[in-house]
Amino acid sequence: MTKRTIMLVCSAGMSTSLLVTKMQKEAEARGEECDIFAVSASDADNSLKEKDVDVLLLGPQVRFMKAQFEGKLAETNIALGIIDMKDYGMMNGPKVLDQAITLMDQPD
Amino acid sequence: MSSRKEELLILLKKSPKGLTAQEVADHLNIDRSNASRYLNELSKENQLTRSTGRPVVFSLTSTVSCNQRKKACLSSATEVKEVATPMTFQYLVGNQDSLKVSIQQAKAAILYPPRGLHTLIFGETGTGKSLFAECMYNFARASETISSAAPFVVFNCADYAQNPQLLFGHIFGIKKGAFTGADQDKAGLVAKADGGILFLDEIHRLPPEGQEMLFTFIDKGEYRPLGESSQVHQANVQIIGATTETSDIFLNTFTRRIPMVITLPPLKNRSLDEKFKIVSLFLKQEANRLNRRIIVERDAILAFLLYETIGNIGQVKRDLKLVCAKAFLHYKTSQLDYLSIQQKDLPLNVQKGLLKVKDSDELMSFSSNTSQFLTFEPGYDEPVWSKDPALDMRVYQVIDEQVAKACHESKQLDTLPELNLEKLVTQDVSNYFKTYVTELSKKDIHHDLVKEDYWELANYLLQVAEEKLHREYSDRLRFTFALHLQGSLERIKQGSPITHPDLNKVRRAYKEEFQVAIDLSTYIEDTYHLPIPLDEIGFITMFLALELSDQPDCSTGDMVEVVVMMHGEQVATSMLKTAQELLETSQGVAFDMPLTTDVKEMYDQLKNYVWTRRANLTQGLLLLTDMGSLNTFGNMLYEETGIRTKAISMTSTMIVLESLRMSGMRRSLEDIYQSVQGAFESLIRTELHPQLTKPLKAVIVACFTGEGVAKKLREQIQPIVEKEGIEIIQLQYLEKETFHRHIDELMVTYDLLAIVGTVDVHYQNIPFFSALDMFDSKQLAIFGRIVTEEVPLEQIIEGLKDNLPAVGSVSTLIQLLYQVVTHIQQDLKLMVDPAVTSGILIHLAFLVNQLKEEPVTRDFQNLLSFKKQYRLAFKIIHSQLLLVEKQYQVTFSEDEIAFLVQMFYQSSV
Repeated sequence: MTKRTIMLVCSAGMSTSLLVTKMQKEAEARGEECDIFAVSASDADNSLKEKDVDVLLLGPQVRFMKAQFEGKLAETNIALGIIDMKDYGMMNGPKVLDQAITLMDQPD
Repeated sequence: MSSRKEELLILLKKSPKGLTAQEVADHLNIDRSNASRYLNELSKENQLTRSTGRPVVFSLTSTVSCNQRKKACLSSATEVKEVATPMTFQYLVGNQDSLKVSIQQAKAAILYPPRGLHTLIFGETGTGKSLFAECMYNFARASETISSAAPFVVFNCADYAQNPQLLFGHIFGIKKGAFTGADQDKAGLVAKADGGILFLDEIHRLPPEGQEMLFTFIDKGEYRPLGESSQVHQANVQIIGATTETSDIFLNTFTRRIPMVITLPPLKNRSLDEKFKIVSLFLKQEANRLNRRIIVERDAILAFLLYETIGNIGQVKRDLKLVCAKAFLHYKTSQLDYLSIQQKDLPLNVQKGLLKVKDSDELMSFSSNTSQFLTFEPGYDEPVWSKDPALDMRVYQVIDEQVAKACHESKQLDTLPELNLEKLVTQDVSNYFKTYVTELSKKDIHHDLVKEDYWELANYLLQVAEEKLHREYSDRLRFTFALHLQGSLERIKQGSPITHPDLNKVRRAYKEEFQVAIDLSTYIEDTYHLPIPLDEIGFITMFLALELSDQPDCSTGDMVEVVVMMHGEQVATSMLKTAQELLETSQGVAFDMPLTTDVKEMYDQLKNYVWTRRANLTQGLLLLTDMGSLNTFGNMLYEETGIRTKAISMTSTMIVLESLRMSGMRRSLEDIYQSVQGAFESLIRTELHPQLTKPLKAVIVACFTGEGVAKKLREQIQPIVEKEGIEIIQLQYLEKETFHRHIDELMVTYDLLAIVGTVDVHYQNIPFFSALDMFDSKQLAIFGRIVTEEVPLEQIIEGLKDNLPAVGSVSTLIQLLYQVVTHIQQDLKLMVDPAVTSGILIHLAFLVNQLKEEPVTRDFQNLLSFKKQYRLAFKIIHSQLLLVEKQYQVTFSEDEIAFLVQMFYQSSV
């Protein structure tokens, strides 16, 4: 299994960083090799260039950026989604990890 | 019950320690075996309790059932205890303190050889001069200065003040033939008091001739009755005079002759401790005489201790009596088995006593040591002052009779003695009606909501009415009338009753309209073949008579006045100034209360301010104070100026901010009060009792009947909410206040997710959807998301716990942010997807945490132009965040606010 890169984007990259920690923990427990990180909306473009991102998840409060990212990612293989509110609200790492994996495994 | 048993109960009431059968037999003059039989029967009926052990002592059962108590009360109320424990100095409140010197003087005056000193008692009205004189008399007997059979003659010189001749004659006696009609010798009071004491109250009212004679008597022990020329009479009498007069002329004449002058202190010079004893003593006496427990709210006692009296103790007793009478009335008409006295029951002048709470340091011990209520139990042996006007129990009898009479006339006990109830009902009805129509017409429910034929009917009927009444009706009224007709006729069709709460008044007030309404109803009956009840005609009348004056829209017109009142030189001013600067407003008024200021003075200042500005205070006044005691100002202001006032204590800058902000948004007084009070209360509450169990969820559907439209709405939303296990509650919306109360009650059990209804309801931050929304697929979808997707705060708190190290309690922060986010949406008039709301909430939580740890700056691109575009939103969001800034000592940069503006605006639905 190849290493997967999951990028979480929210307004400042703060709230998602907690989620990242929880997702990493879960991934470790499952024995999955994942690179999970969080960035602010303004840093998203840079990170996309620097890293080989497989999936991009938006925090629900910046869901308005979805259209914007859809445009940017149109020519790539990067999957895009909005973190489920309930999982986000409860900082549910395992579930968001599930969501990311599901998105990646979906054929485009 | 036999009269013997009645007698027996009365007897036992006087004997709190209980009696044996033999004692009862002796008292009632009946055979011992009979007495014993009655006693046993009564104890079987649970009215009496038998003691264990011998001899058996019977006493009144203290837990006699309510009914029996109330029945028994009638007899006991009229029964005044005759057992006389003579009133002596030792029973006087303050005998070791404020009265100590006076009592020493009095004892000296009595004991002074050979037969005591004539004495003059000074004291304001109601300070207890008569009682004091009686104590002197009893002391004289007890000390055997006079025989125990010696007379005590009491006379008030004011009684005959208009007729000096008669007054003279009354005191000194009349000789046969002194004037026409004086056909025999008549002994005067001096003669009657021979060997004892003559108490002359209001002695300054004695005319000059009388004074002259009195002085002669004092000097020589001799006097002449009226008309007596030759013979000089002699008597051995100690004179005690009493007066309120302090003028020099009087003093000079009297004090020169009367060697002993005793001054009784006015009530205001007495210590609080003594005042408390006086009040308690009286309440105990009343409890005793009524044989009922009296429970008094602490604040009520406080008021009695502190209020200003002109009449001293006498007035306190009168006022207490009045309050007891009110309580008695309430007791007779309620289910309570005791008399209850609360602050709000007191006369206004007594309530004003609470204004002085600050002044009294001694009070601290009193208020901190006692519980919220004080109980006065009946049943102890009281000394009786024979002349006590408070002994008069007639007032209770009158109440008894009135209640009994009223009960007889109509069975509805509750409505009877409450004369104001009628007033209240009337007010309710017209208020409800006004609200009903204004709110109906404001709602832009599409005409489609009213069926075509009802439209036609309404228009036709109003056309007829316009012709007959020579007036025109507005479109607004047409619409509401049509809506009303539709609702009512549907109800009648279903056979549901229609009740008008005050039909007769409407009929009387609007004779013409009522007549027309009858004609209209005949038309409706003919067309729809439905019987139109009289109550519905009443409603139609009200529509016809309604002057729908254009009420100011809530975005213009007066605001709720915010008044900040704090102790300290500049506290209020600076607090208000901070809030004003933050909000860039000039609203609000501050009243500083330097610690030296008299509370009463403060109240007067406030009252004057309110009074002069009352024309601008139509929306009411919110009083923010730092101490609960100042909240009493609220009630009093309302009573004295008629301006609706709500008071909030423990005010902080945050509360001032929030109040100003909401007032600026033209929110109503109740709304602000609820919201501010609620917001900060819930902060405390949730911290103390974190509510982690999942409450029941519900959606409210509301319409005027709680049946018609609500039912339709229910059908519409059922499929959405059913699977989520959300309940639908149908509610009737008649009057705002009542509706809000229902909501409050429901909120105890339910987490209310949304309100759907025909009238705009914005309350407790519950999302509102109009009836129309439910038939719009897009809106319905939003509704669906709101009720099903919102993440409970508890879960968010749980998820973030231990991850925000810098903010203290996560729960407190999230609760606050939730308020903030909700208010921002309200103020921006935005509806944001709940998923986004929670996202923003979490974003803010992390932001606060970070700002506390190590502030980092993030730039918002094109900040200036963005800000220009969303100037208002910036302001609103910032003013909301002020609460957070204050509480957490952080500052949100403009860039951060810009990000928030973006999140709110770009995510709104």
